[in-house]
Amino acid sequence: MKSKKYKNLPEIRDLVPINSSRGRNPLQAFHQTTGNRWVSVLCALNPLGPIAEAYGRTLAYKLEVKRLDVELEGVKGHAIAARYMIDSQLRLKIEELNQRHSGLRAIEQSINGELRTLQIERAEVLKMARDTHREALQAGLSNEERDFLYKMAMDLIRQLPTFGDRARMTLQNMIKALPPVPSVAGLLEE
Amino acid sequence: MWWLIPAGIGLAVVYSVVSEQEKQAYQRWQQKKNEVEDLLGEVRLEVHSHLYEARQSYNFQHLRGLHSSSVNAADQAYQLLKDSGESLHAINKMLTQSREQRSRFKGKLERAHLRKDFIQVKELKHSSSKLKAYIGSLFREKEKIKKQRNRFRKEVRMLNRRTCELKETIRDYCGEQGEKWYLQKHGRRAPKQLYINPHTFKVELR
Repeated sequence: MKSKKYKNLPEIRDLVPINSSRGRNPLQAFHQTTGNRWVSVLCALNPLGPIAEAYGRTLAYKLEVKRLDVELEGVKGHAIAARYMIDSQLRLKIEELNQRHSGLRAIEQSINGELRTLQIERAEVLKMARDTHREALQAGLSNEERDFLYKMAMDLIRQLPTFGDRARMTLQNMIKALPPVPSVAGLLEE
Repeated sequence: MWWLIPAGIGLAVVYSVVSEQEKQAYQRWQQKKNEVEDLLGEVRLEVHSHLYEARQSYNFQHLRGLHSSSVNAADQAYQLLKDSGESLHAINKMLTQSREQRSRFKGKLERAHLRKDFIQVKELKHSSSKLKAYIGSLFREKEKIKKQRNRFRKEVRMLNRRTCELKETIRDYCGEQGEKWYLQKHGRRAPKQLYINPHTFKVELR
């Protein structure tokens, strides 16, 4: 009921729409009306802003330190793994090398044996040739005997270059089996 | 508005505390970052040197095996050279003896001519011509063996060069063990060097 004094005044709900004003932020309204021109100015004047930023940075540094700790452990682990890998690769390569060398040594031993046999045979033939030659030059032999001994000595002597050729071929096989000398660049890259 | 003063002081105190914490956190972060960078550098260097040592060790094993094979081949070639030299020496001796015999035959032949012993003259002529043919054959074989000896000599030289090259490569590209090996091969001891003993941290000679 309106008293007589306020009889001619309009209703409040006619002046201010009550529903629209409820929940409306006056600061937002202010910024809306000023076109957000005061936002940066007010942020700069806010005393809690730098504190919050400093705290945020502190947290970020702490997080970064924790990340670096993990990275440190990772680097140590990588170093151990790298050393282990190098050592195992080296062991593997040396094992391969030993196998190659033992194969080569077997070839060498076989060739050495062949050459040794040829050397013994050649020495025997040379000894026989010397003896036959000595016999052929002795006095008191008939022409037929001497001719026979010359022929025999020559047959034996003719075998000497043959032994040399065979030995040379065997040596060539040995030289061919030798691996090439690695170049300096190859040694560094291997 | 009087409450603004203690509030402002309070905020300033809080800000200084937070700022101090931030500074400490920054320093810790910087320290940790340097630590990680230093460790990375050390690890990189260590892995590199480990790899280098491993490579040198591999090179040493590899080249030592090659050197041993090369020495064996050179020894065999030298033995063949010596054998052909021996054959050559024996043939030279045979040639000398045969020539001496031929000159003896010539003397006998002259005497038989003087005596007019035509049967002996005929026999001696035959013997002399046979000996001449024998000397000719000996000479031809001698030439063959001489050529062979020269080839063996070339092969010995080539293999010796290869062995020497390998020996020098071992000295130059296999680190300390290569140098020691080289000096041992030459019958010399490695010169003593100063080094820091990792256990006693004293400078010692080795």
